[in-house]
Amino acid sequence: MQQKLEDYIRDHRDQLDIETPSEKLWDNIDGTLNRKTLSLWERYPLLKVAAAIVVIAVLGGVWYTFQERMPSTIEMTADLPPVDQPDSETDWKKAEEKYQDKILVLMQKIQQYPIEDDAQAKHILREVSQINVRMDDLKANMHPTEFDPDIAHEMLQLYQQKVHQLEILVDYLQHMKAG
Amino acid sequence: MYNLCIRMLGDQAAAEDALQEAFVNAFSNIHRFEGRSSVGAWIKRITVNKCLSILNKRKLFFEALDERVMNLEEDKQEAYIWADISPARVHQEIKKLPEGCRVIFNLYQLEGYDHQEISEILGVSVSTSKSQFHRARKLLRERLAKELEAQ
Repeated sequence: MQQKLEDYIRDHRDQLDIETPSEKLWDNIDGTLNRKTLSLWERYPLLKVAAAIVVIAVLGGVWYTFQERMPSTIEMTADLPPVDQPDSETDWKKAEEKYQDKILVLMQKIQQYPIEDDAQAKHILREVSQINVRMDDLKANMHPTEFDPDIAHEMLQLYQQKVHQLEILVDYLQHMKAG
Repeated sequence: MYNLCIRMLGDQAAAEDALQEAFVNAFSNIHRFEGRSSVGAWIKRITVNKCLSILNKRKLFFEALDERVMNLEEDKQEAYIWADISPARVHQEIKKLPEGCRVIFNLYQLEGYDHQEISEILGVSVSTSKSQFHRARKLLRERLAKELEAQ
């Protein structure tokens, strides 16, 4: 009977599958599946302990480094000498001017260093920002014409802390640059 | 499945590798089987994909053919008594087809994919899929006809 080749193939489709794979193929599949079902933890039980030790060591190292490199604000300001309360507005202005000059010099020094990626430098600058916020609050409370010695005293304490922080930052940056 | 692999890839070693990887892949991901088709069809699809990935690594090349020429050839085809040729012989000749057209012939003629699906699977145009299928069929017919005439 004459027919098209495609029809002949379609009619005998099942008879085309005549080849069989080697015996080892099924053993290989079985072996691979058995290996896959055992997880890494199951194959190496001590790996859990080793992993835990590594995690603890890494966390400890991070904590130690962090503690070493980031002194707290309390520690940084604990040794500051007491600031005298200004007796007059003139004393207050002079003292403020003195601190502002110091801050200007320190800021010029800081600007010489790239600090964008330095966590410690950023940390200190955040402390400085917090001092700035407190100073802004105090300034807002200052009477425009009447001198308030208590507020002025508190302001000078904040100036002192700010200068101290910036000096720490300059020291740190110089130390880091030196290597 | 093994015969599908061997017809797609042309040799026993590659077919066994493909089948092994396909089965391991299927059994390892059996939880992903959603039951939208039979398990057999699902494994077949994985096996076809595995074969195609092996062929892609071989830089499978599809020669673009002029579809109109192939259509003219189609009109001239002679009918033979193909029953005088054993299916096993047809299987052997399919394995000997050039790689590009062999893959398309298998997918279309034996695995039931249409040209649109093949074009999407292989990243070729529908006309390329059609022309490669015609080319495979023509080569197969010529080779088998020669054998029939010699009998």
